Amino acid sequence: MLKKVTNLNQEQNNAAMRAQFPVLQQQANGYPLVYLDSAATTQKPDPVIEAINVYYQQDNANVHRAAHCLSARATQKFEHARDLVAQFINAPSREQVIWTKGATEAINLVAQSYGSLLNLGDEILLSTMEHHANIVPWQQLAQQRDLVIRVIPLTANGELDMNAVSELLTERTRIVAITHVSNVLGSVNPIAQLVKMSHQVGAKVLVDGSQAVAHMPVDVQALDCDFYVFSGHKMYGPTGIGVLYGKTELLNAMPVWQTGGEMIKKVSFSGTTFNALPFKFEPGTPNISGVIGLGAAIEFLTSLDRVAIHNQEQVLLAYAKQQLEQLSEITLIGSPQEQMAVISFVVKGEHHSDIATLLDQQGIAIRAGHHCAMPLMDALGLNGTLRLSFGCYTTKQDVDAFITALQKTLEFL
Amino acid sequence: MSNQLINNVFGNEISSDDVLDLFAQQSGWEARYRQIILLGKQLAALPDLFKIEEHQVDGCESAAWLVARQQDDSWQFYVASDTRIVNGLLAIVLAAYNGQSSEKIQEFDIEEYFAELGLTKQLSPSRSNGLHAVVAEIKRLTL
Repeated sequence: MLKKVTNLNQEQNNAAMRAQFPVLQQQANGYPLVYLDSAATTQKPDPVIEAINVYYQQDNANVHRAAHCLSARATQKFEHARDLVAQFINAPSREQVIWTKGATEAINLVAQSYGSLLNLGDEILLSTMEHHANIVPWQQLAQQRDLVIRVIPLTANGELDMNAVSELLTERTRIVAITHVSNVLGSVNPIAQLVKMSHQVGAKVLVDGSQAVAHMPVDVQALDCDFYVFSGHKMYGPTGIGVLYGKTELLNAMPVWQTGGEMIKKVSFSGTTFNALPFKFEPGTPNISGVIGLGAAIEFLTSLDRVAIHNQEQVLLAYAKQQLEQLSEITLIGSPQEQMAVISFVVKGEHHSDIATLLDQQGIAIRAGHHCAMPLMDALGLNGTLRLSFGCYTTKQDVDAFITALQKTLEFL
Repeated sequence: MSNQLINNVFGNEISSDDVLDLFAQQSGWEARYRQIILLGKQLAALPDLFKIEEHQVDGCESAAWLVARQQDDSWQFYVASDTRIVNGLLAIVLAAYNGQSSEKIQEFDIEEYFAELGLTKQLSPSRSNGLHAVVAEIKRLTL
């Protein structure tokens, strides 16, 4: 009896949650939309859309400049969002939160700025499961400065091979750039342990938190990482905004990267002095509406019972895996002990693209392909996978509709 | 497998009008996609030696290959993809282009053709299946 009541409450909670996401209230190809591609981008709740609208309708002005009241309001909201991010990841100070276009730009910033301090033969340690955004900027840097890239292999179940890490970390390792959660396998990496090991050899650690921040609490001080980056649009915020967190002494020691207005203290043709953190790394008029939207997304996330959301995502993950395992044609890719809101699978004898196209015909949005992780696909011996990924609005009904459509697709082919 | 390029029935025996007639009889996604897959099965196999980078057309989800030959005034295209649906869509494209002159290929309204087939979305640049890139490459070659 008690269980029934709990289930009912759960359903009501889900309905109330989904009602906050306008995009989800539509049909796709004549079927109710089932959105299972949140790892690519999450949908946006009303308060985020509203915050962006209000900014443009009532507060639009450039920040940090004018004395007028619009600029004061815009600046207040803009800088308040920085406070929200600092609290959200438990950064020691707000000046350590730097706005970027997204995680990709944040990684490029560190690679080009911190990377300019590296020298011939210095080593960068990456992992096989990295997104291209956490590979290519380092490759470019390695080419520019004659650095060596080493790669942490994976175990058979899709986790980092921690035994290999101790061998790969050397006194030449300067930076370890690693994802918090794999965007293909959902594997959660033991970041705190990796940071500890890396610091023992004097290496700095950059963590790509793009797939983590929406799904688990992140405490940069507890992790003790040197840099942490993420994108707003994967955590219910707008596109085009992201965050670089860094340790103060590193950010201060790093040379400026992109330059222009806002980030200077004094400019003359004989030379320029630069602004303090965080503005030193924020040239030009920033993405003000994006920052304000991201602030609203963090307020939205922190207003939720995040433990309950996490548990719900974990229950759905287990349920979806169990349902998929019952289909003989399906092989799940990876079976990490700790897995976050992402499942990859392949279908025997069928191309992932055909499956995704036919699912789309039935209103199901999932992702097919290499997921910007070609080195991982090579390591797995695959040319792509199908990936479903969850958000706070995903329900058991979504998973059921997906499984039904998948069965129909398999019969069809 | 032979190393010879084999002309496709599409465009030579099966015209774009034939394809339009065929799809006019299909309603619902299942019937349409069943037809697409059936057409794909009728594509002449592209010998492996042609599946090289030079002929590869980029798609994010899947790979496709395009080989073009011009004889006198008319073109023959030879294609392959590793997916059933893209093969079918390529067959539909070839029904419009094979055996045609550069001028005819440039004149042909492929968007309208796909719209009439109810397959507009499949041709859009946002689709990552390589079909749009194949059509763009054919148009570039025949410019």
